[in-house]
Amino acid sequence: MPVTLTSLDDVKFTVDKEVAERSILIKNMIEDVGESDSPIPLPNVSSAVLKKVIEYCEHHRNDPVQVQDETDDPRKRSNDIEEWDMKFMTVDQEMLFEIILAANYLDIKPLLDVGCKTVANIIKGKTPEEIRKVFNIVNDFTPEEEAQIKKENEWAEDR
Amino acid sequence: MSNVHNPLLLAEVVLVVANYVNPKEAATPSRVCRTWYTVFRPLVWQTCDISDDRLRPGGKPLGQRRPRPKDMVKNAHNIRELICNGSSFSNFEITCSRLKTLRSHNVIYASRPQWWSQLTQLLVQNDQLETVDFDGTREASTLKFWEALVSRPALKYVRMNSVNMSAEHFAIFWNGCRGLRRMELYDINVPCTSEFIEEQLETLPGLEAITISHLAATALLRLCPGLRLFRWQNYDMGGNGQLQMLAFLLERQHFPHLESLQVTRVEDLELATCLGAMDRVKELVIEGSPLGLQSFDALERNFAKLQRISLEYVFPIPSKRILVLLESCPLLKYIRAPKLKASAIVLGKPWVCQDLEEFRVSILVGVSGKTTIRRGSQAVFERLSKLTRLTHLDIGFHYMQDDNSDSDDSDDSDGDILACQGLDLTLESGFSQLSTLKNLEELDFSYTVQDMSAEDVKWIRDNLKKLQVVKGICNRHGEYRDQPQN
Repeated sequence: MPVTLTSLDDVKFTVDKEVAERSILIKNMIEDVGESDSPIPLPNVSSAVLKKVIEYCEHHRNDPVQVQDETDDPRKRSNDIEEWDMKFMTVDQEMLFEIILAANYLDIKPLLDVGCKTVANIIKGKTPEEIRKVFNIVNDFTPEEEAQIKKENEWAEDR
Repeated sequence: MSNVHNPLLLAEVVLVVANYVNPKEAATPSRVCRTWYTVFRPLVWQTCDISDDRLRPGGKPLGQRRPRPKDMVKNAHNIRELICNGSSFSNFEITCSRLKTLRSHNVIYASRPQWWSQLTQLLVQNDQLETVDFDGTREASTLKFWEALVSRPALKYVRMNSVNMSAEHFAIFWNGCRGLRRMELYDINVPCTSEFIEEQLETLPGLEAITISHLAATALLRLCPGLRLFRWQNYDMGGNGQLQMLAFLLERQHFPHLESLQVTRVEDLELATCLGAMDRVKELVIEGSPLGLQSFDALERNFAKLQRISLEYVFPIPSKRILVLLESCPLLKYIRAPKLKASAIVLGKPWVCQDLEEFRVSILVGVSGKTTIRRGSQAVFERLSKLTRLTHLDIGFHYMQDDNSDSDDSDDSDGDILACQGLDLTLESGFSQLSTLKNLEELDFSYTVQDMSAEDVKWIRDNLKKLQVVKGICNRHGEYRDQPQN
């Protein structure tokens, strides 16, 4: 049963319902609208990014749906990224951001996780200034605040 | 692409990133910007260590900083695990009320008159505590302390060390711990008899694991029908009547869930009896006593189920006996043993322990000449290469002792054990076969004599990508590496 998705720039993508429903947002929209052939508008996602997102959902279409695990032990959480996903995430920083934004908006948890794991691996071992540079983040602390926070957390560095 | 919104300024996204950041590395990201500070700050303070440097061995490294007291007060609500010791109480105002774990230690047998009241106060403040791990002092414990401890509704795990308490206090503790899963009692001084235990103490059906040293083990064990793990830690020279009694008990009372046995200094017969009485043995840890023939026979019945075996300071023990474990235990995940001879490995059968994660056995390759060592190493590497799930490989010579245990081997051309070499970790000896060990995190070859070249070291860097800790001296020129790598 095919579903049509329309991107921000009016490009139409036709995918299997099963693939589209990897996005919880889309899944809910389909349930709300019921039986319908009309395309689903995604005004927040450009075609380039939507193409990537669909590629991810196609590859992972048979993955079991992740259940929210309340006893989730952070120590057991793996930072491993499987090979296909690693290749998939080898993109420029702009696209990385777009993928994360899209995964967040479309509510595709595994894709959001992969994107954020990638970010976590990038920030490892970097100084705050280096992290800001890589991700275009503005330092919005006052110099006093910055010094204060450095002192506050100094005991926790290099544990 | 115009005006791309930065997802790393959205707290909900940064929160997901923080899920994959080790809390020990959260301090630096917290300094990036305001949003990141808000998200990472609780992670930074999740585990807080305010103990001073003069801690018992195994405590944090000398010179490690402690937080500033005012910052600790400001972040008390973020702290879930607090590590402190006696002096912490005078240096810090501890206002934490959401602790899940409390570790509070002392220099053993120190005198600290305020200790029990300070600890009691801390307990009373924190009703979400699940783990309490503490040392006692020369002063006896107080009733208020024990009442506070057992009234923690979420308490699951208690570890105590060097505590003086009365029999009544022990009864309050034991009977009050209905939800407790694990209990570790080290060096507990309680004047009580077996009769007292039988009459005053209740059954704890929920207790899964217990560690005992210096206490009437058998009488207590009768009260733990749900036990999964029993650990007996006794270093007394005076022999082990306790384990004799344990064997006696196990033959008469059925412990359907018991599958892990950890003992020190036991006789072969006692151990064999215990093993024989267990429905299954998934884990066996022995320290400081031999794994005799009778025990080994009893263990043999469990080869199909055995997952973890640790033989520390277990002498004498022939290589063949250790080898049999590798050749017969398909579920084995962890093995620690004193030594194994390469010659025995070469003559032995393929290993069935495909899922092995930790291999900690010194491997002796023999003395005579480079060729023998190369060939021996080559054969061992071939066996090791099949263990693709391996995360820890430790072939260092940590406990070398000449015990003649292998003198019954027909092939004894290896000569004096103390002069034996370890594995030769060079490409020439086939070390590259270990490229299959994609998951390896730790490699330890301490105290072995190596002659590695720069090329060998580079190979390790290029091929064992997940390696984080390397221990050992690479060559005679003293290149020493013991480092967490990224």
